[in-house]
Amino acid sequence: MLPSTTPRFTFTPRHRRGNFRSHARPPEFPLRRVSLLRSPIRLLVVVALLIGGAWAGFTLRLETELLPLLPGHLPSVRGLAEFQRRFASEREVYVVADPALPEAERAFAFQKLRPVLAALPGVASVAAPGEDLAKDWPQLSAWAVWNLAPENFSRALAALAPERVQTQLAAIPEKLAGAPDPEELAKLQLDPLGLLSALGGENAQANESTQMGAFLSGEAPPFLIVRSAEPLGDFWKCIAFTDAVRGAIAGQSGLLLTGRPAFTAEISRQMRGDMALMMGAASVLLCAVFWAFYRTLRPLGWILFFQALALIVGLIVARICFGSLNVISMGFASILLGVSMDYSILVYHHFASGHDAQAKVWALLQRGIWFSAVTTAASFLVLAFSSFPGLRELSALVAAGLIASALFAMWLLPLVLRSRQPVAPPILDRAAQAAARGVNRWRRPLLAGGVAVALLGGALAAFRADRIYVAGMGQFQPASSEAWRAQQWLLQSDASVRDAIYLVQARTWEEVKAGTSALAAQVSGGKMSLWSYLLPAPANQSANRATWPAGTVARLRADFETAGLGEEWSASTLALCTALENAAAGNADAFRAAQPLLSTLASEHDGTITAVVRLPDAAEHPVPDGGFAQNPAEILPVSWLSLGEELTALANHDLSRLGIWMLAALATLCALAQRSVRLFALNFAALLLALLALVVLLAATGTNLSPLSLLSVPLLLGLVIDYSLHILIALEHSRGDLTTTYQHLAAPVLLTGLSSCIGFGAPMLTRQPALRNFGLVMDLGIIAAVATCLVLLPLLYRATQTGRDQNGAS
Amino acid sequence: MKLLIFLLFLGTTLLAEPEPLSFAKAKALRTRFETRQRDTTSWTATFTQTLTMPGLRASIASEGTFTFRAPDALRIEFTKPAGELVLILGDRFFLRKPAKRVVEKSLSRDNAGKPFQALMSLFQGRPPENEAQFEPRVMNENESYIITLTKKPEATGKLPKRITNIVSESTLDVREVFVELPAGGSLRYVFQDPARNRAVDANLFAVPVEGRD
Repeated sequence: MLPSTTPRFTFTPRHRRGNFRSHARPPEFPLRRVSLLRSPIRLLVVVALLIGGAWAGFTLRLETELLPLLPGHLPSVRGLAEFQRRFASEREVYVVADPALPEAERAFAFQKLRPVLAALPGVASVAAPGEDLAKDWPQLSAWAVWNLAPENFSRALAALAPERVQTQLAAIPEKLAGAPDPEELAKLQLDPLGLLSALGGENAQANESTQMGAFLSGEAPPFLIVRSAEPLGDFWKCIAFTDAVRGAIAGQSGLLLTGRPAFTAEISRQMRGDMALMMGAASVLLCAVFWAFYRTLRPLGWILFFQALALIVGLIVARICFGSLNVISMGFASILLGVSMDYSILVYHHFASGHDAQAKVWALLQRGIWFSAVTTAASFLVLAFSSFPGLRELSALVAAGLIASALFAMWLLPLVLRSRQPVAPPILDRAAQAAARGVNRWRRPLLAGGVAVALLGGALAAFRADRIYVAGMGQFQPASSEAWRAQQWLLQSDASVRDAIYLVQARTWEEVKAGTSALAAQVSGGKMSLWSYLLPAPANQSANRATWPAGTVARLRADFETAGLGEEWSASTLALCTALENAAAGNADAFRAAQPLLSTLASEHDGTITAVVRLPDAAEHPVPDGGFAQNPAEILPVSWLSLGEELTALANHDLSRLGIWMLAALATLCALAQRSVRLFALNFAALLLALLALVVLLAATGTNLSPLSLLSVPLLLGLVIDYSLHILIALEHSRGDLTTTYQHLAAPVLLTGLSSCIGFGAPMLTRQPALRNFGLVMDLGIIAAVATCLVLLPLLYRATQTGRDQNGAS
Repeated sequence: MKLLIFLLFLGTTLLAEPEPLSFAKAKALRTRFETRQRDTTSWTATFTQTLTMPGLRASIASEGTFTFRAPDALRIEFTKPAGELVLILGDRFFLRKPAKRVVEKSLSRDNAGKPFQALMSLFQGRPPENEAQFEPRVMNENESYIITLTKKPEATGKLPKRITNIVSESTLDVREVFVELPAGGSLRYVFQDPARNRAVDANLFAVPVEGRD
């Protein structure tokens, strides 16, 4: 049986023509011209909020670092943060040449650029790859030999034995015969005795020595390393430094910048631009949609003003609770204001449709808004138990903003609306009636369609889950990013880019050494970069001191002269052996020249030694399957790749953990709001249907959920509960009368859905593929939520109505 | 006095440099040489390679056979040191040191290929990649053309200081290539018994397989 289309409210003939304001008003709620200025308490609250907002704005510390937003207990977060704090390479920007650029052009460009870059303010040094190593090679290699385990040190000594030296030197002409190779030639001049083969034999990967060989052979470098004099700790410093470097290379085609500061600068600049674009586009679209519905923009100004007040409340809460706010949290919080717009729009529609004089209707609306705000805020507050500090900050900000927005919508907005009564265009009423008729007429096919979508969504979720949710973030590689493209060039031209970097922490150097060897055995089959041999080993030094044969340098000098080899061939070996001889004699300055470079490899603070270890060709897979094995030292990967994997695992764990809490919070609040098992079940049926419809929409549009867009699920739960609460309260009030329900809610739910689509869909305008995916998933979710709550939920409500209810409705 | 006159005669004969060819003649010679090289299907010769280096008392000599096959294949088989082989097939660069395995590199991207790039361009009859960095000069002397490429003062990178190619006037065969290395020292190739467009065994240019080549 169709419900009666007779509205519960009294509509006059004029109302049927569309003027909602002409009906009789009950005496208990007389229309008065009230304004904000005539309500001193409220005005005082507004002024206090503005002052509080100004205080929070001036005293709030704006955090611009990304790592504090991430869980500090994750090994990769700790590794990256420690590396950033203690070691200088986080200050390096790489100027990379297009590998397709001819060598002569590359050489010309870099030769011209070097003095220009070196003269830039804030630049500490400019170097070609391998240059640092070549400069201090004898002392560095001497240091590496000096710290070898005694059995390996004796191998080095064996290479210096008189007969062996003479044989090696006599064989040099033979080695130089045949095809000339500039790189091999340079290496032979550096180490004609093969002394350095003691540095681990086949396990020593030669990426660095290849770089150095290339540098010594005079090959044009594939990139230049520009080092900042100061740490580049935040966005602004990264932007300033990379801008200065970019300015210097402007006009040179085929050169791009990469490195951590370049990525940070690029992302933060894009985020700023994208945020401005998102805010601008969202504001214009919101105005357009509001005008399309109500043919006026004046109230929108007030609504936006109250939204700004709600944002100020969020700022004050952030100032009091955290003392600081991250720019990324601010960006998301501004998007989330789209949700809180709903309350103001519902209130506006209530006044514009002429129901403002009916206290009961107003009370019902207030109840709905309060429950909706509390439910959504509770679902956000569950994120306060997330492992991510950024989400914890965001949850407090948004929850406070939502509650404040609901309060202002019901406490301040009516004052403004009553002082200048709004009027809804008649077409809204006619459209609501037509929609109700349509839904009534097509209820069976619509219900069948809903069931079909639910079944299809269930099947897809059960059998195609791997296509709906893709765990990795690899699909969102920023292919248009300049820093990313330059990194790809670097990968082609520099083998050391494929090194995995770790921090190895322990209390003694012996533990660091043992930890490094164990790590290498697990990750790279025992292979280590040459840098790993530069870690000090005090016990080895003591043992090696005793075995060094005195007078070695003088003997070698004579051997070189006898073999007819000048200083071009002897200088490096003699310098190396001189450092060793000095060290053996107890000279504390034996390795002084190598100290600046060595200090970038290890540091000691508060009794803990932290060493930087590089393992060759492991950058793509820095953490072995199953994690690191038992190790005498603590291993912290310095890798954005492992960070992504750790974050994904943690986000999945958080989702399953917090999802249960969130559902519990939603269930409790819905039960309190509805106080009826049937309505409670309908609430959750709408939730399930909306999620299944989202699955169908994702499959139909070829979109998948990523770890970031997975965050949209709790937001969607809040939205669906919000819509379904209002619809069910209105249906209960009208005893299932669809026309009345639509007259009350169709326009505001549609408008709030659209405004949420605009707010959450704004990230689709950004250049970040992951954010675009998040925006698209949110919009598909909102479409599913609005369609389910406006169409399927009333039909389900009607289908589950008892005879008494239906009679009542009739 | 006779001795003085003799010494003066010897000095002027040996030390006086011949006049370089005019621009037009040098250009015409270049065109002739490039056309001749482009018409070449194969070129073989025996060679002697001499390397001198600063700090090295004696020069180091190597010998072998040089086989070029158009358009882009080159085989250098050393008899001293015996067993050493360089094989270039397009951009693929194979190097086998005596008693070692064959390693494959890139002619254009790897350092080991760099010295052979200029040789390839010479035999292919095309200008070298870094031609703009050098000042050319051509002279005609003793039935040979002496083409000298001197590194320009403003040129960048560690390029050779000078490259001298000696080409036979009558046959336009390359007789000698002399490279003055950037860090001092030199590399000289002297070619003997050149033969142009002779049939070449295709097996010589097969991709080396470990244990076969």
